[in-house]
Amino acid sequence: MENKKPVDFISSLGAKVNSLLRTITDIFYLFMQVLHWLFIGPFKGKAANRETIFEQMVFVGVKSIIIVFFIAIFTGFVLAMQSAYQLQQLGAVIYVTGLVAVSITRELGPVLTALVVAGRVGAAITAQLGSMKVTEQIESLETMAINPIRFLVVPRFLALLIMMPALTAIADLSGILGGFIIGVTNLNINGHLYIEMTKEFLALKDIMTGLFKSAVFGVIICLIACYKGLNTEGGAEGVGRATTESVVTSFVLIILADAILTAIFYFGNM
Amino acid sequence: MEDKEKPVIEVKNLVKSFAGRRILNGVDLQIYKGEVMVIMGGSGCGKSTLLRHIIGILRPDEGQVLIEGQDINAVPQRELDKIRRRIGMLFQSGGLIDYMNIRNNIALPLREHTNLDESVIDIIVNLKLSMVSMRGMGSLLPCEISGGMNKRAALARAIALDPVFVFYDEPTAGLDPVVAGVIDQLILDFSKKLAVTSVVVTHDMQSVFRIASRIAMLHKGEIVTVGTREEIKNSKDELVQQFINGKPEGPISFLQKGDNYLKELTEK
Repeated sequence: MENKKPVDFISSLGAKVNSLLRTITDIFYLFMQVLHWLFIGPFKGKAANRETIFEQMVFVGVKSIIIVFFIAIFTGFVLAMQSAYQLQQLGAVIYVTGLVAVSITRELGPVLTALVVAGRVGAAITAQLGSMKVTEQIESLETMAINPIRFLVVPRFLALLIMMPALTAIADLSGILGGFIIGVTNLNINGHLYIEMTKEFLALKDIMTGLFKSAVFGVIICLIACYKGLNTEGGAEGVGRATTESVVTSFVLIILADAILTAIFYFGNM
Repeated sequence: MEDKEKPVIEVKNLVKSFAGRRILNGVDLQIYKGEVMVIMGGSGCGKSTLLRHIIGILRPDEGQVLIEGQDINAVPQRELDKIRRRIGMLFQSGGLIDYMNIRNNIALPLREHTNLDESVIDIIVNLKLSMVSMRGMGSLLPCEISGGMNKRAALARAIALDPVFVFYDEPTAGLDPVVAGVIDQLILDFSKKLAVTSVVVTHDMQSVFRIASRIAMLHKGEIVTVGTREEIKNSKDELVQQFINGKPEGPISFLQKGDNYLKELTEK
């Protein structure tokens, strides 16, 4: 049996903390570079390619609509049924309307959309950039004096930043529709009343905070996916590993950011 | 000749380690205008690493790389980009952007760095495609063509901006002898007709003696010898002789010392 000294444990812990800190600084640096190319680049005549941005927007947004729609509408069903189960005991089934609307727009819409996009788009971005890295394509861009951040990351960043709130708006609507369907068919709430009650309970700030969250999640997904992709090493196996890490890290960070943002909104009375 | 006196690319005492292993151990090399400098050496001797330092993708631990007198690791990014626009590089795997077709790949540096009209770019792309005998294949994706075509298309992209320097990383590796010969001929053509300065990293001996103006032999991260084709062929150096003739026995040893043989075999 090997004797493990406590010193070894501390030094390996130190090495882990060190590499974590380096990753965080690297991602922050990537973010700064993206902002640089986004806001300063165009004035130097070095804007990101418009066609690429649109292509990415289609990939991120348009092609995610169906899956986001289904996930949100089913969540709306579930939410309406679960809350009705509780509220029936109090004779307050009508409150299902507000409960569904507020929890979808403030919380579930943005978070579920972000998780779907992280799994679908984040993974694809990491896999694509990762395989470009291991086949010398990123280096070839550099030797052609084409900055890979501007050429590859900025279009994806913009696409996610714009399409995440758009997808979340679709998720909000679909979720409320799901609640509406259960409410009208199963809980005997009048359709007109359901809509009026939803309007009554739902404030604009509920929707706005949700959309703000989703934009932050979009930034997280893009930065993590691009960072993992551009730092891929070790051939095809490395691409697989990077993709898994990208999705897992995005998931954890999305939930973490959600907790922080919710706390800020809650204590800030927003 | 004035050109002969001052090298256009100068590598000075280049040292680089990866994870504690010294890959380059004080490399010195001068490359003159218009010549084809071949860097040869066994796999893993640091050839590609050296080339990546010359183009500034990797940064050295010690030493300098001067291109036309400018230290490429000391100049700001904008200056480095200016230098890189005058360099074409052919990567070992081609390095074509995989989601763009051949035409767009070759047009990429032109669209990025010039204000030329699309119709002019089209003409230039066709010109470069026909230089590598690939006319009419512009609409194919890199994954739809063979390895040899990939390299030729990548070569067309490398020369899209009419570079002054072209670097080749194993241009003939993995190609059949005829395609290898075609690529060699292209390298010679660029050097003679367009006065391009070329640096070629390879261990394909046939190709070395077809194209080289001068040959540098790299071994264990150091330049062992530099000379013309004849000088290398007639070199007394055992290392060089073993390498160019591909002899298994000699100073470049693949046999491991036998002292711990039994121990290494039985060790878990």
